Parts: sequence; C-alpha cells; structure tokens
Amino acid sequence: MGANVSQLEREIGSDLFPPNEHYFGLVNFGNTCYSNSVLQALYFCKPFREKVLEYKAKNKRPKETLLSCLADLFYNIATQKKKVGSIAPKKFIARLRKEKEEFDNYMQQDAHEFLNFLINHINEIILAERHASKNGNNLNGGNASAGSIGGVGVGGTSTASKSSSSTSTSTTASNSTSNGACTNSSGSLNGVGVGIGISDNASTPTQSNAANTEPTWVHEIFQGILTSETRCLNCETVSSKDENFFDLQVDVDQNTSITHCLRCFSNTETLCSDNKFKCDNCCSYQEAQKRMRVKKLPMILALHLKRFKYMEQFNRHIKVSHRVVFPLELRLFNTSDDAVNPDRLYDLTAVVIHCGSGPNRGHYISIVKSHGLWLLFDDDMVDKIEASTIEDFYGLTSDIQKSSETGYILFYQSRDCASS
Amino acid sequence: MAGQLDPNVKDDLKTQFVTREGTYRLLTLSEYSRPNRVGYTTTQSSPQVRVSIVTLPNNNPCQNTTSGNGSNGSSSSGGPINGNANGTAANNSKGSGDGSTNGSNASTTGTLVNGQQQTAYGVPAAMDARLGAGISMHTMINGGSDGQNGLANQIYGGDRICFNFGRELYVYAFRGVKKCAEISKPLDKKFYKGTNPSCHDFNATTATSTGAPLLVGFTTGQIQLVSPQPGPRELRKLYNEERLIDKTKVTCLKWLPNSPNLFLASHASGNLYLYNEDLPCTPTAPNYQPFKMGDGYTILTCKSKSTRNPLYKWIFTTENCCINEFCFSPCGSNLAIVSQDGFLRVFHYDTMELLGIARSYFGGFLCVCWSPDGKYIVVGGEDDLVTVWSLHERRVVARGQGHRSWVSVVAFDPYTTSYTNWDGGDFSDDENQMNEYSVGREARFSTDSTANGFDYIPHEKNSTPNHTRQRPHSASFRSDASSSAALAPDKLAISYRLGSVSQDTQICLWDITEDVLRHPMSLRQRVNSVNLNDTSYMNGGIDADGIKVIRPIAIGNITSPFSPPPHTSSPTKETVAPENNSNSSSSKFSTANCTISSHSSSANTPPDESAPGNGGSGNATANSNSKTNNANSRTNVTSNSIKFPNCISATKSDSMEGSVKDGGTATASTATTSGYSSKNSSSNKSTDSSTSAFNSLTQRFSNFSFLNNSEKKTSSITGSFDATQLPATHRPHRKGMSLLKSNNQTNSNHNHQQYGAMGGSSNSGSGGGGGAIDLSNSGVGTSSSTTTHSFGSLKLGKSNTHSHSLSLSAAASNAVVTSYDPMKLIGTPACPRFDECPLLEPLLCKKIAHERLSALIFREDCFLTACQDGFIYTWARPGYATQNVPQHLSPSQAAPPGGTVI
Repeated sequence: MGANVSQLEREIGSDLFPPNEHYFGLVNFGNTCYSNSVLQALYFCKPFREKVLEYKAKNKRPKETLLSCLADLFYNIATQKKKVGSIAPKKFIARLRKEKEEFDNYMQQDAHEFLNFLINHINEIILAERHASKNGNNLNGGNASAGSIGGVGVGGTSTASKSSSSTSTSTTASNSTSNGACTNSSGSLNGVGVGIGISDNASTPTQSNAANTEPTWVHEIFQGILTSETRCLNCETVSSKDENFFDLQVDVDQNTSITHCLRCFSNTETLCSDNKFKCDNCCSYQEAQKRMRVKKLPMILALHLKRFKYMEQFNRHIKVSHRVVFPLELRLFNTSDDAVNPDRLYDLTAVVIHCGSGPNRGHYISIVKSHGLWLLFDDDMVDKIEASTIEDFYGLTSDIQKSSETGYILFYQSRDCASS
Repeated sequence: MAGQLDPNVKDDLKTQFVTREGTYRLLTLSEYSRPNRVGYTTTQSSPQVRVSIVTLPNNNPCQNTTSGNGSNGSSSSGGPINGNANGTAANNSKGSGDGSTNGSNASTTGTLVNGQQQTAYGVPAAMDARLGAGISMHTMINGGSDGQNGLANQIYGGDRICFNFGRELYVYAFRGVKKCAEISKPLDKKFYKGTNPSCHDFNATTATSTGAPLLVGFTTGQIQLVSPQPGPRELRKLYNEERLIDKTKVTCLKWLPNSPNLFLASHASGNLYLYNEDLPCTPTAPNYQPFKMGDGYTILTCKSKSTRNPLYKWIFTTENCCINEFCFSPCGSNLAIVSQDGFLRVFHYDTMELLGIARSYFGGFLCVCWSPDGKYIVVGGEDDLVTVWSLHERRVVARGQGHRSWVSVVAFDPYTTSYTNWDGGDFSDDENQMNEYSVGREARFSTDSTANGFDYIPHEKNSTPNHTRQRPHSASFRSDASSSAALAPDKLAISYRLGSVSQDTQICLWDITEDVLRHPMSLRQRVNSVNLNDTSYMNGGIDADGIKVIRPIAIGNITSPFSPPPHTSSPTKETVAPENNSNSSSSKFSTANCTISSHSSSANTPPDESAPGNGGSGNATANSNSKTNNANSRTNVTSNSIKFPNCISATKSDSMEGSVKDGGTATASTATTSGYSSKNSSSNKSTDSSTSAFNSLTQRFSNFSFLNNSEKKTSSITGSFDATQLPATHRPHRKGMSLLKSNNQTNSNHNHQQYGAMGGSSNSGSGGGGGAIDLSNSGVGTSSSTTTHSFGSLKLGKSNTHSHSLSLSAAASNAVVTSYDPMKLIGTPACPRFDECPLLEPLLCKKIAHERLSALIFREDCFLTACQDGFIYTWARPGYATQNVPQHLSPSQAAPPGGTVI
C-alpha cells in the first residue's frame, strides 16, 4: 500500500500535484465500500466539501451526529500533512451503524441507498439544529429512514403548487407506478421494473413536514425540482405539481447514453386501468397522460442508474450491466418550458462504480475528477487513471460476462458554480 | 443469465428497411469479418473498428504481372509500377531501394524503412517484422494458406476494403453487391503485438491496379505506411517509430486530397501533424518553431537543417482536445476537425486560416462529414445529436435528434441527395418540392448563391474519368451521378441525405431539406446582451482571420448580377455549358474564392485563351478581393455594431458593401488595390500577372514548399499525365493545380518574375515576419528560391490584411480567451440554445446490430456499416439486391444498369 501511495505521487508529479489537495483512501471495515465510495465522491464534490468543512469550523464542540462525524472525517483528510495516504473512517462508520440499523452489520449495502440516507439525514440534522437554535423544537428527526419510504402517496393532487419545497405529494395513482419501478430500497420486493422511470422521490417526503421553507445548504447543492404535468384525458385539464429531488433515478437500456435515459425518464406515460389519475376537475379517476420534467436544475446533479432489477423468475434482484455511456459534459434535454436555467452545463465530477455480478456480491469503487486529474478510489487505494479509461465503466454490450464494472451513481456538477 | 432480461432483443434486428427510394437490404453473403470468427470477443476497450475503402484503377494488369514476376525479391521495383502512379513511382522506387539496402541511404528515407523487405516470398507469404518500441507485426498476404506464390490469385483492380479489429488488420477485395465476400481469403492480414491499429486510410491518388498505399495508425502513436508491390511483397515504412513526435493514440489519418505523399495524422493529444511520406522523421524529439498563430491554435514547423517530418504540427489550445476525426471538403481546400472538447473547427487548409467554429450542445464531437457540395458540415457527438453547420453562414443551422447514444459516424449519401432539375422519377415525393424550388429558385437562392461556387466542385471532379482517384469518401461518387451533374450543372442540392450510425446500434437516415437549412433566424433574436459581444466576435473574428477567404464568397456572387461584364455570364452557375466549364468555373471559383480552383481554371485553359476572358475575370476578382479586404477591414469596425443582431444582416451588409466596392473596382483597380497587385501589374504588364497576384495572395504557398520534394521532380510528369488522362475541358481543379505547378515549373521565368516582385514587395511591405519562414523552408529543395519568394508573397498577403484590419484582429485575439468557453458560446451561432435551432427528426431509425456501430460508407450500389464486433455489413440499395439467389452463382444477373464503377 505504501508503495502504491508514493507511486501515485510520483505519477502525478510533485510540481503538478494540486496544492491543498489530498488524495486519501478510506480503510474498509468489512463491506463498507458502499460508504467509502460515496464519501469519496462527495468529498470531491467541491461545494459539498466546502460546506461540510464550513460546518466543522462553525461547530467546535457539537453533539456527535453523523454530520459532525462526516465533518471530522473531511477535516481530517483536508488537514493531513501528507498528500496521499489512507485514513480509517472509524468514527463515521460507528456513528452510521448507530443511526440506522440497516447499516449495523457487515452486509453488502446499496451505495445509492446510503447516499440517499446520508444526504437526507444531513439535511435533517441541519434543520433540527436550526430549529433548536431558534428555540422552536420542531421534531422531525425521527423520519430518518428515507430509503425505505419509497414514495409515500398522499391522496389528492395539488395543482400547480409553486411553493416548491412545501409539498411533495404524489397521487396514489402514480404512487403504485413508482413503486413498480422502484428499486431504490434493497428491501422493496416490487414487481418487475416497468421501464418507465418515475422517480420515487424517496428523498422528498423528509422535507414535507419541515415547516420552514428556508432551504439548507444541502438543498442548495443537491435539490432540484421536478414538475409533473398531468393531462386528464377526459377533461383535458392539465395539472402540474412540483416535487423536489436530491437525485434522479433513471432506468437503463442497453447501448444507450445517460442522455437518452434521462429523456426516457421524461417520456409521456399514460395512466390507465389500475393506475388512473384522480382528476380534481372531473372529481373522479380518469385516464391521464403524465410526464415529469426538470424545472429547477440542481447545482450537483446526482444520477442513479437503476442497475438492480427485480426478476420475478429468479425471485431476486439481478444486476443490469447494460452499456450506458455518460459524457464528461452534460446538458439536460428534459427540462420543462418554464425552467429557469435549462441550458445549465454540467461536468462529470465523480462516479460511484459497482463491480461484480449482483447486488449482494461485489464491490464499490469511485472515480473522481480533481484539478483535471482523474483518480480511482478503491477503499484505501488511490490510483491516477486516464480519462480515456472511463469507458471501461460504461457497461457491457453482451451478456456473456457475468461480472462487470459499471457506473452506478453519476455526480454532475454545474459549471457555473464551479467558478464561483 | 442476463440475456433473459430482454428476451426480445435478439429478434429486433432489421435486415431490410424501406425508404421512399425503395428497399435497402442486408446482403448476408457480402459480410466481411475476420476469417476466423470464433474467439477473441474482448471488444470492450479495443479501438473503434473503422473501414477504409478504395477503388483501384483497372488498367494494365499485364504489365504489372510480368514485371512483378521478373522482379520478385529484387530491389528494382521501380519498373513495375505503371504509369498511373506517376506521383509515387519515383518515390516508391527510391524507397524500396532504400529498403533493400537496409536504410543505407539514410538521407532520403533513413530510419523509416522498417519492414526491411523481409519478403519471405514463396512459402506461405507470411512475414514478421518489428515495428520498434516493443511492437511487432505478423503479416500474411494474399491468403498465404494457399501456399501459392500469391501471383496466381492476385486480384487486379476493383475495390479494396480494409478494417481493423482489435490488434488485427485485414484487407479484402471488396466485391460489392455482386459477389459474396470471400472472408477466408483476405488479401492481407496483419497481427500486431504490443499495439492495436486504430485508423487507416488508402491513398486513392497513387493506387495501382494491384493495390493502394495504406496508412495505419496505432494506439501507441506510430504510423505505418504499407505500399503494395507486385507480387506478395510490400514496402513498409514507419513514422513516429520511437514515439518522439507523439506518444498518444493516432485517432485519424488522411492522405491529403490528391496528394501522392502528404498525409495528416491526428493524435489523442490533440495535435495534428503533416507528414511527407518520403521524408525521414527527426532522429530526436523534434524542436518546433512557431509558424502561424490564430484564434486558439498554433501551427509549428520542425526546426531542423533539413526538412524532416513532421512538416507541420497543429496545436489547439483548449483543454482535452483529443482530435476524434478530421475531414477534407470535397473541393479539397477546407479542413474540418472535430475533437473531444466539443468543437468543430473549420480551416482553409492552405492558408491555415480558421474559417469558423461550432460547439456541441455538450460533450465531445466524435465524427464529421462534408456535404457533397461542400456547403455544409455535419458533426455527431456525445450529445446524441447530429449537428448541421453551414460553411456559408458560419452557424449551426439544424440539429437532429434520434439516436439513443453517441453518434459515432455521420456520412452524406451523395447518391440520394436530390437536386433541382432532377428528372429522375425516383423522387416522386420531392416533385412538389422541386417545382416549388425551381419556381422560386431565383428569389430563394439569391442569397444562397453565394455558396454555389462550392457546389460545383465535386461534380466537376466527378465528371472526370479518373474521379476514382480521390480519397475514399469521394471515391464512391458514382459516374452517372456525376455525369448527370455534368449535364445539368445548374443543379442545387435541395435535399441532402445523411446517414448516421451510433453506439446505440442503430442507423438513422435523415433528409435535410433546404427549407430547414434556410430556416429564418428570428428565434435567434434571443441573443442576450451578455452574449452579444461573443456573437459579434464570432463573426468579427472570422472576418478578421478569414477575410480573404470569406467575404469574397458573398461578394462575388452578389456582384455577379450587378456587374455582369467582368464575368462570362451573369448567373454563371445556372447556364454553364460544359465546354465553358473552365472559364465559368474560373469566375465562379474566383468569386467564390475557392482559390485553388481559380488557379486550375486559369491554368487549365491555354494561356492565349484564358488571357482575355479568364484573365479579365481574374483581374476583376483579384481586385475586388483586395478591395474587399480593405472594404471589410474597414467596414467591420463600423458594421460590427449594425450587423450582429443576427447573421443575415451580417452577410447582407457585407455583400452590399462588397458589391458597391466591386462596382468601383473595375475602374479603380490599380489605384485602390493594396500594394501587391499594383506592384505586380507594374512589374508585369499583362493581365496574367494580376491573376497570379490573386493566386499568390489567396493560395497557400506552403503547399509548394512541402510538395516540392516530390512535386518538383514529378510535377512535369504529373502534368503531362494529367493532360493525357483528362479531357482538356473537364479537368478537375485539383489536378489543374498540379498542372499549374508544372506550369510554374515550365514557365519558371515568368513566375519567378512575379514571385520576385512579390518577394520584393513583401520585404518592403511586411518587413520582419518573412525571415523565419524563409529560414524554415530554405532547405526544402532545389527551387527554394521560388518557395521563399512565394512565402514572401504569402506573408505579404497576410501582412496586408493584418495591417488593414489591425484593430479588428487585435480585438479578435483578445477575445480568444472567451471564444472557446462553452458557457459563453451558448446562444451564439456556434452553439444555439436547444430551442433556438430547428430540430430534425430522422427519416428512419433502425437497429441493425447487437454491438455499437462504428463505420458507415455510402457507395453507388450499396452502403457499408461496421460494427464493433468486427463485422462489416453490406446493404444493397433498392434495385441492387440480388440476395434471393446465391450470389456467386449469378454474376451476370447481378449487374444492374450502372454497375460498379471502377
């Protein structure tokens, strides 16, 4: 390991090594690669890292929370004397296992589920602390298990609710659909993915009871707004409602691009039969057409590729290793007409990669871009890689090989925030 | 296991599809692949499977056979190369001589000869060769499994197809739709160790009936040239052998249009190099000195006593600028380069001036193709879009959305591009459109006519019998299309057929119609004030840089109705009689400022003929050119404020400007021209001088410098060869260019005089700049004086332009920093917002493979697609398919009218 580390420094070159940058691997405590890979990706999301370090600076003696542990960890990395090395995120993992019992074991975990939990949980901590400081003790911390909610359906629709962060209601009709396509929580044994990617927006309900609408920095970094337009086929009334998201979960097709997957995400879907739409105008369940488009583009766009698909014939989830290419630069095609910044330009900054043949077997690594360099973090190992080798993580075009190394979560960072 | 995910995947591959022309069918027997299809399935990260194809001349096989027999294994291979390859005949013989003596004659080819002629001839024609740097090669030529000496199954003429797969490279005789592929009998197969072939290109110019020189680039940066010799022999050279020039992957290789020995190579590093096949590479890492600087690019030359490879190095100053592909325009004068940084850069190759840029919506541009008439460039990339860029308007005119993944290849189908006055019944759907167009053509194309000059270039090339000697893309122009083009030279393309293949395993066909391309730019009014500066820069910068090249396009054509006298006929493009071609093309090309063609046309016609009419028009044009340089450089400053709400007003204002100026030019030519032509006309009395002044101004004379090692020796041969080969009136302009060179040689007195005058004026006019260039080219050859003088004249032209547009170019160079910033470019003509640009939908979109597609080539009777799994499929065009009967049994039946062009 030591030789490897110094080799990295040699590869980059001392003169080219970015100042004030540290490339530290994270020690694996037994199947904690899901955490290590996500943490590395988040660490190299510049706005996030800065905010976490800022939090650390502001809260000298905080009560120990997951956020404080994360802040300590980031601070620990950022203040290392050595440029490269490895660090044991012991306190963070310990705290994580206390916070959420699903993670309190040595089992394989889903990296996206962890990311989802972490972002929501941090957001709640911030909100809770804000409330505590405001003396209004608004208890909403119990709502921790975001991943397991998977799109709570609240009956009725809120038409054209522009107050974005206040409501995250989804119709019961669409709820069942989103459950069908949901592979978010590893425990959800839903039916075969329908192919139409409705985001189950597991992240949003956690904010629903947050009384104050003032966004946290987690909102500022990760939160975007989806607008869901539903046209009742009976009365032709178009109703739209906004939903917040922290990441977009897209279905994957063989030999496609992430661009295409995102366009499919916003394809028009017809709600019919069991899945009808309760039209306020008609006061009844009607067939309707629905599509979801991005209204507010987040600063950091996290894209979750739904590579774990439940197969009824196997009675378990299997990995979809389809080749999905992702460019280093991205704009969204699926923006709504009233989107504020529809041609926001994103740069790929980090990718969490799943290696292996299935959801319960395998390994997570991550590649990140830092100061123009691409680095591969494999637990405590750090390697410099060429940008041209990223194509190795697109996936497989044939099903011959069982194991694959495929991009699983993509982090795109808006270029306009990179400079500021 | 995972295969059961999508049980329907296997069945949805299309083997035929219908367009309005008819049914395209996959010819399962005309499928090319590696002979042994099992095993070797790791295509994951191997280089893109690319296809090169060439049509060989079909003459004189006997001579080759006999002399090939006679000279087996010997070094005297100069003889067997027949007259068709005059350009390289001398070179080849020289090269092979070096090879057999193991590079003792190091001054000419030096370390390059690496194949060492290890012709283990006779026994299975297999050979091993070291390629240096731990790379070796194993070759089997002519299907060595036969155990014959290879001559028995030597195939003469026809088409050759080359493709790479993994570490392997194959050459087959391409049999088109008529015969099935004999995949067990490749003409050549090579296996490389330590590297993979990544790209390749046949030289169609120097192709003989037995083969064509093949360039192969490698993932490790080396470039190999494999020149076929009679019999089972081949001559190999290696460039960048020690990777001193560039260590990164060769991403694209192209012979210069109609050049026997010059080629361009792009690397993943983002650099582009010009090589001369005959020159050695520098023995150490080359030292460069700047040759030319422009907006975001720098061109360097090799700093050495004797001329060495690389002759030029192009550097682009954006981050992550891996060049993915480049492509020459059909007329050969413009070069389009696409790169991973998401930019399309279009250069006038000879002047090395940047004509314009486009930016992807996001991600890299992966592929590029010129429309057959050279008016449009289509690029495809990582935004899953095909993007149409207008050379004339310098803007993105349309985008096409239909692919589900990155677009790996775009290709125009020149045979399905419909033109006005097309009387073929195939395109009944287009009848209305065409009527409409023909009725309103005058009005409609009054502005469009500016680009018409380019329209003729491919057709005129095609109308020559030896059109097959172009580079592969254009080699596939069919003769009847070209002949009809020659018969009806007033055609305008109104609907372009475009094909694109993608990593999504689908092929898309697109019809790009004029009404889309003429889409009004009202939407573009949305340019906000922040971007306005950039917009104006984009146009203004081009004005400053390409001033000689760009503005006259608009001017000449607009002026032609206004001032008919200088031109042979006012709507020249409409009423050109074939026998008038040379003259009319001169006016056209000179007005359109396709400068090389103006050369050719003036050179094509005998001097006494051309002097009155042609020289006159040339004179007018030259003057109007120089005038407009001034006019533009003046007006640009002022009109920048007016003209950039959108582009139309920009071109309008310019063209008006030009026309006004042009009106005045005829009388006040010498008085107003800026130095160079007046100098010339004073030193040389005839109108020819001003023609050549025009030439020397707009023609890039560096061409002469790096051509002259070979060209100087062979130009007289080439010239005479051209003269015999071509009908005198239908000479393609590039050929004419070489003829011009021979003229330059033969009339050296005359030219020297002119150049001398030019050089003199350059010294007086431009002062400093010329010195370094003279130095760098001083060692070029015997006629270096010509070269240096011509450089001087070039410098003069530039310095004049610069001096006149000094403020503007200064402003442009200041703006360079922001001009390549995609954040600033969004909303500009180089990268319109998504809703600002017409969005095309594909005519057809079919999944035709299981693996991502990697090549698409349109030919007369078929098109070819290649797949990353190493299979090349042939799709017969409507009426050409003979797949119902076993193909090899019915050779006669499989000959539709028109046949395969050889």
